[in-house]
Amino acid sequence: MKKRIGIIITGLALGLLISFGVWQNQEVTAISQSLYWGSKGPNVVQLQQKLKDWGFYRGKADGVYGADTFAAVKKFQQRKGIKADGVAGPGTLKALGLWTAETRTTARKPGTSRGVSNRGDITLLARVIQGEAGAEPYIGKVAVGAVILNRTESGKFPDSLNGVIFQPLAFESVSNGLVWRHTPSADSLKAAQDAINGYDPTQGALFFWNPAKPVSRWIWSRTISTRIGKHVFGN
Amino acid sequence: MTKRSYMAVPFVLGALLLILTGYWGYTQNESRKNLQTNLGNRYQMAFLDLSTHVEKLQVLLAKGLVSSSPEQDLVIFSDIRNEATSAQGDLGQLPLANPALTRTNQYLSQVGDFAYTLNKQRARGKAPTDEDWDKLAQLQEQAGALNQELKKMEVTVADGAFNWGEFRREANEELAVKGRKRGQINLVKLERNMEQFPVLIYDGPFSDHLERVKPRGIKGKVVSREKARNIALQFVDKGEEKWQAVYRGKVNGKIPAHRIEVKPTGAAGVFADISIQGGKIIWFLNPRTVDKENLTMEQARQKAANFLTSRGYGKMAPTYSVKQQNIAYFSFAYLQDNVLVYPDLIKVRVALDNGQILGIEAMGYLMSHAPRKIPEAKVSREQARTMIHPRLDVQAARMVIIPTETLKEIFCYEFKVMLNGQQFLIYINALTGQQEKILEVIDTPNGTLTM
Repeated sequence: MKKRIGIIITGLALGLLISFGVWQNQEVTAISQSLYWGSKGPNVVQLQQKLKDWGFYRGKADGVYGADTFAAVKKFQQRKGIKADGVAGPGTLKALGLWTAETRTTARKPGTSRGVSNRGDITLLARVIQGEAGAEPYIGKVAVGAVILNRTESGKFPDSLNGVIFQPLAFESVSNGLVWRHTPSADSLKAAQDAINGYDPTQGALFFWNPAKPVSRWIWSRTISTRIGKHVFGN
Repeated sequence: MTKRSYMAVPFVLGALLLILTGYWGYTQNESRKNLQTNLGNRYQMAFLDLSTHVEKLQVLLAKGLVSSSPEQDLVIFSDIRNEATSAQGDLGQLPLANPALTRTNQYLSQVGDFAYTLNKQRARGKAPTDEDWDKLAQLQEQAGALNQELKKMEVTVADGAFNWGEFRREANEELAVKGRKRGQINLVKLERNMEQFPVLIYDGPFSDHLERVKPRGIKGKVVSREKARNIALQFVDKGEEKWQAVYRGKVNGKIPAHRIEVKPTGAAGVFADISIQGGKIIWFLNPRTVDKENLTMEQARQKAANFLTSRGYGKMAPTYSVKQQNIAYFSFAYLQDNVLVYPDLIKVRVALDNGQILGIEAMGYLMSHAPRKIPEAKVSREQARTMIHPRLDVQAARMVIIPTETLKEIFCYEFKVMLNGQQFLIYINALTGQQEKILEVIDTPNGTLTM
């Protein structure tokens, strides 16, 4: 009896340990490039782990794409009816559930009205609008989009949409990851598109803030242009 | 099995749990530290890169003052621009709460921009003037001051004594804004020093004078709120329903305005800004969702043109269109004596389900519109055409006025040309015959873009 309890406890402990171990390993990130013989790194570990889970790979998940991994990928491709070339390209990775990166259309700055207009830019802008003004009225959403675009045009901020959005500490929802947790609503997408097409309810504002939240005293020294919903806009 | 050994079970379990939690906490802490170090290294790199680029910038600006050969100038000015752009990129990666480095950023924009302007002049055979030289000297001096500050900080940063992770947290808590020192790093002080620099006025898009342009298309008397409500109510495309207008406050921007919300009783409102002076519609926007597409783009364009005519904008020609989420956007430019005036732009937003006009955006028009004195062309169309590469297939030509980045206007011939199935617009100055601009026209399924 005593022995059995001992076994149960060790089993429990082991189980817990294993699950912790697995949990630790589950920081799955998107793979956005093809992997092939000679590739190294965490992406390869993910690939090997996945192949192992599916029973195609028996070796260690050591992060080195060698002969064993090559053979395993080929085997998987044959089974799935993908061209068996031993290269883990987008198709193979997608079949394994590892390819999550969106294929972006070539980004370019058209000189329409606001310097940005490709799909990827609209979606990115819409994400930040969703994160910063998801609960705001429509015109408040357009206004937040306009502030971001005004920054790209101002010498006081980085000169690209990416630069402005990912400037550290510039936007709360980017800093805390909220932008990646929600897909933008149809309204946010439409607002992004309106902002890109030139609508600017703030008339040139570079800052916006929510007075209900703690903000620096500095911000109140700005010239306020307008208030929309919960946000104050200014320069 | 004794009773006592049963009692031991919870203790053993508890101990195990404790160990597991401890292990978990340890690994969590390790990975957090790991991430923080990685992040800190990225910041470190950005900062050191910034410092390097500013140092090079200072040297290049000094060389720019000394150099007097056109070839040297061209190389130096384009290097200045490169260094300034790189420095700006690094600055944008530093973890500083928002207002902190805007002035420094602006300085770098201006240096790059000014060098680019000088480069363009040089390429046209114009040597920098005395005034340009003075400005360059001013910028060089500022680069020196900036460089000195950065070098001071660099000592601390390079020692590794400075923790960017903590700095970031402090910035978050806005302590940095209050200017508390952490090590020898005081980027806030740096920014204050930069703020004392004089403004820079030159012929480039980031010149200080461009921040305070007056709208040219705004004239006339001040309108009251009451009047503004009526103007909005009459302007907006309402259909048959009964609408009301509500005053929503003043907007204090490029064109001071009354904000009016017009709405059918109980529905989501259409917002409109009416300029306080002159009572002009700056924009209005109907947020209605459009689910269907019943109209062709051509039909929608006709609706947009009719709407503009009915609202007193008769002399406008369509220039660009795009369709997104069943809404069509049309740009119209002002037409004077058969010359298309691109800066005077109005954008019309049309619902493709029933053709209702969902919005207008006339900021560009109001900022730049005025009757223009269009000069006689000094270069004939045929002469201008010879400026275009003979291999290109010219399809159409017209006379236009285009805006420059500095809001000046150039009178040009616009040639539509094809190369390998790709369309381009080439602008030839109608007074000097110089090529001013080249745009590539991109046809997308949703519309035509020019870039």
